[in-house]
Amino acid sequence: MLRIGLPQCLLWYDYYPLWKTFWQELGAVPVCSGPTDRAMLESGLEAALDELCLPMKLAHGHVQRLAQLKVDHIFLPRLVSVEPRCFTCPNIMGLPDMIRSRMRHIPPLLSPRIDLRRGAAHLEPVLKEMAALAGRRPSAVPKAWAAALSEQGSFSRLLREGYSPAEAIAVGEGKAVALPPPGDLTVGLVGHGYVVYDAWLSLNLISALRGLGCRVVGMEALSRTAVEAQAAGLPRRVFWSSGKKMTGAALVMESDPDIDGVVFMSSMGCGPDSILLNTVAKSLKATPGLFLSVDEHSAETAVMTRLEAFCDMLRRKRRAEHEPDVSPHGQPAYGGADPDEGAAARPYRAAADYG
Amino acid sequence: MKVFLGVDLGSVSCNLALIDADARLIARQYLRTAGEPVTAVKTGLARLLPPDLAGEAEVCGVGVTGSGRQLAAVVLGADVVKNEITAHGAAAVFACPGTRTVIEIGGQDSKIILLRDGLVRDFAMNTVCAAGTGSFIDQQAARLGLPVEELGRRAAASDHSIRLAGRCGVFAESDMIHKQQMGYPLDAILMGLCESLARNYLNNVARGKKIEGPIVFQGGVAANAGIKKAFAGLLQQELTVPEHYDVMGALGTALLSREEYARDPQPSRFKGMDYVQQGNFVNRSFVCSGCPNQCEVAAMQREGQTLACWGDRCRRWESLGACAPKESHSIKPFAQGRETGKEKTE
Repeated sequence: MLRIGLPQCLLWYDYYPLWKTFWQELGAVPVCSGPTDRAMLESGLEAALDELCLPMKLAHGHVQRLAQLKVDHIFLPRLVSVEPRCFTCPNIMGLPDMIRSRMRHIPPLLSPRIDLRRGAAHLEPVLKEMAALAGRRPSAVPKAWAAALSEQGSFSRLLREGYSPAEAIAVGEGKAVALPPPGDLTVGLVGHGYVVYDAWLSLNLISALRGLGCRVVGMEALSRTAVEAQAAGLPRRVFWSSGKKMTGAALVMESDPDIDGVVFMSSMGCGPDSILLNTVAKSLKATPGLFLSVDEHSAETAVMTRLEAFCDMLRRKRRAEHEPDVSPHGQPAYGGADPDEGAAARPYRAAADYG
Repeated sequence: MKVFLGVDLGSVSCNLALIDADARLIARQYLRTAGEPVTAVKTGLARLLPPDLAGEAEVCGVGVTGSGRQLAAVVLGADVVKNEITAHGAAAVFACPGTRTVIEIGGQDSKIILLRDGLVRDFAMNTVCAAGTGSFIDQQAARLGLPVEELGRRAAASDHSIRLAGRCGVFAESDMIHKQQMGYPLDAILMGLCESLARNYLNNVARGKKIEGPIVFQGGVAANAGIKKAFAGLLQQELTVPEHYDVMGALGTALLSREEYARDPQPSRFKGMDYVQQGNFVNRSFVCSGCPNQCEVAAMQREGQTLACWGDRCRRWESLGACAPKESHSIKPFAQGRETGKEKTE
């Protein structure tokens, strides 16, 4: 059986169910590199060019792991564009070349060019090529592709329901995954899927937020139409797919009264994010935002401190809005409102929601 | 007498504050962590609560904050474990009602907190770079052979400043050396250093934030008159340094524990002076070999009993809590095997 390695990095978080099903339908065995761990990170840092962002370096580590898993081919499509009039990040486009030039002794890379700027028709030869590799006739493609699209569709629906990609994939594999209880806060999560959904890179961001009592709303849980509409209203068109999604999502979250705050996580050294950060920050007007950047030196404690403070702030803000006695208009919630009042008699009640 | 204890265990200093039921500050301590957090907590507590005071004080609540808050919580038995932002915000509003901006610069981190009507509205902390925080100033003072208090005083006394590169601590230091070799007066260079650190803070930590008065300047670095002067110049307004600027984190967390008690008067989890002072606390660490992550797990033990573990990404050790090493667990941290070889005892 042909073993096809799928590196669990970058756009894996967006398209894994699609490719997995397609290869399975063709009779091949898809093999994932598994969740990021320290060994992958270290081998990635060693293999990759210095100037790349951390997720790209990590991709090298995932490829290395697949080489150890003795797969026959590593499927790493050259993703130029995944939708009309948009591009992926230039580093993602160049990844297969970087891997080829930097890493020896790895299984052959399968990197068909995927460029959907002019529609999906051009995918056909790519898919037929993949079928040929798996020893199947071109006529096997339509059925396999339909199954793949259907699997991807169920994945998207699970994301809409509030599952994280890892959970949605587990559900797709027939495991029972319960959604965590909603929590008293609702926090929107903005950032590249390969950063925010990678538990290692994001320092367990999702479970940390849930642990703090937040329901986490990912960008994929929003209505795609609403995200597109908001992104289309920007003064200038964002031509990176992920950037468009992130800004559109931030705007949707800003206008959603159920969302208490937005966490934006980005990886140090991300070129597009350095520009988009400001756009996202500007889209959040009434909704508080927390901006986190992570790199290989980030400590979980540092992220936790900021998340805790952010949740404290959101809870306090909400109480002040719903319980007028907490912060009377213009009066300090702490200390005596009347300066003549002795320290002993300070009405200190309002500080309760710091606790 | 009912008292509430607040401890801010930071990277450079360990601060303690003791308040009474009416939120009056009874005692305070500021001491250097000096790389030994447990000793710092013990010493600080002994100084804060001398036997005569300890006898009559009934500790009704303990709050801890700072980067070492988990450790302090285990050693003391804490009721409230809070992040530094919330603690500093609470203390600033308490000490200076009406505050709209808090500039806090500590040993290895710096933060800005925007308050509106006594509520934290927005905040930011320094990212990976710690340039311009207390440690860097300490280091420069040591390099110049000056006590750190002297550095700020001399800088503030200078009538002009020499502009230094302040974007990065390493560049700032080489620029300082260069300016010294050019023959500029030291005081003016020191003032230049203070200004570059303040600029660095405003451009990085406070980037994009609207700084409105009244401004409170707190944290250990607020003792530095040069930095205060530099901020006042750059922001075109005066900053208030609260009386207990150096123990604000501890004060804040003491206030929070008092608040918790007011809401729900449960007995404190405080383990008592004897437990803290007479126990032999040992930090140990081992590399977990449960998966390729190889997390360095730290464990706090007292008299051979493991109180808590942390540092593991998957939480398998952390969640075990007090019962950490048991025979039934597949990985034995302190038993035979490769972990023992790597084990470090502090």
